[in-house]
Amino acid sequence: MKPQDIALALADDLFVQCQTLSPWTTNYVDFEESLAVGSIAQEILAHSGVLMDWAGLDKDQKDRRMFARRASDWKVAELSFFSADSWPELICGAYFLTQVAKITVNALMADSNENGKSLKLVHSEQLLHLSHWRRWITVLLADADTQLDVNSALRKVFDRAGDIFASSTGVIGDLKKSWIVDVKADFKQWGVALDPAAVVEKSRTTGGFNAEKLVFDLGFVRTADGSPEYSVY
Amino acid sequence: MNAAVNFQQIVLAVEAVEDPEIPITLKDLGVLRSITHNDDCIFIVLRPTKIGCPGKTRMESEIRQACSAFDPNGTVEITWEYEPWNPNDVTLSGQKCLAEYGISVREHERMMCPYCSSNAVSTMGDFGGSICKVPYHCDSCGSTFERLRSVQSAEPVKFLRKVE
Repeated sequence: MKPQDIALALADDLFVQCQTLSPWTTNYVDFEESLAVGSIAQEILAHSGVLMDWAGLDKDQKDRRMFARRASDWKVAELSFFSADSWPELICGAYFLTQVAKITVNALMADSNENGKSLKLVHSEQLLHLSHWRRWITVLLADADTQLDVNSALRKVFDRAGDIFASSTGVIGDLKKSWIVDVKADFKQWGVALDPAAVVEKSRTTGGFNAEKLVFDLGFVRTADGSPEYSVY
Repeated sequence: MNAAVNFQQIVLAVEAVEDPEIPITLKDLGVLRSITHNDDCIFIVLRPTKIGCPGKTRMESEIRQACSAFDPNGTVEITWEYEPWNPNDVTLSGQKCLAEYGISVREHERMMCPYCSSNAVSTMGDFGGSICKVPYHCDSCGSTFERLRSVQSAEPVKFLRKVE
């Protein structure tokens, strides 16, 4: 798999994750946290754009990729579409994906020259996001009232993580190994019994209900031919 | 650029463009990095405080308006550079302006409340409405304020909140 394809796959994951994260800007009751989640959703959307830039897509190509693609052509990690039923599920899903983004962007940086500066900024912001999700998991695991919920959420997310890195060989295999090391270190610190190396690999699927809904929702932003539905400025 | 156009007037107009959120000029905020020109075009380089800054389109629009007021038919090329923005890029007058809006830019010094100058302050989280801002509370005057920070050099806030 070429670095450009890896960047575009992550761009898709982050673009979709932004859609699933943003409703929590208003769903959650803590004002400061709502602001933080809104900020993260906004930033990962920008990160998606930076990754597409890095992969060599121009403005029109980026627009077509995100707004004019058929549902059957969307192929993202299951966790990106994961609709969390609770706050612990949201933070655990976001934690897994942010670890993926951090590791992938770090690897792409090594493959970059001058154009890697933007990835360096993305990496820095992803590290801050990661510390945010980690902090929440640490706090909720330390509280007897929420400990079970978080463990249950981690298990639920774990069962959906098989297609994040759907191979143990080649470049993807190397990314997966790094991901396992980093997640395992956190699990050890948290006293979580799950082993990230035991995630069952599966291929990413295309289309489906989530992709159909995504394309439907995006239709409110862009018309069928991809032109802007609204103009702000 | 049209020979009859006074480039200095354009520079002054662009330097007066303000941030969409806070009434501080982009120059004072350290977002406006350079303005140059050749016979055909004005080149403006901007640096966002964070990659996903939602004000970028608005800033570009206002800069183009500022240029077109003096050179309606001129070409303006705006480039966003992906270099780490740093609070140290804020000018002294910019720091005063931000302080009036409850925003501190002290990156390494001991934090101080911009309203009462007390050092009895505590953080309220990793970040608030934006990743480039850390929310604070002043234990002395009770005000809340924010610190602008560089994402590149940011250390995660050592902070745990007990969930009731």
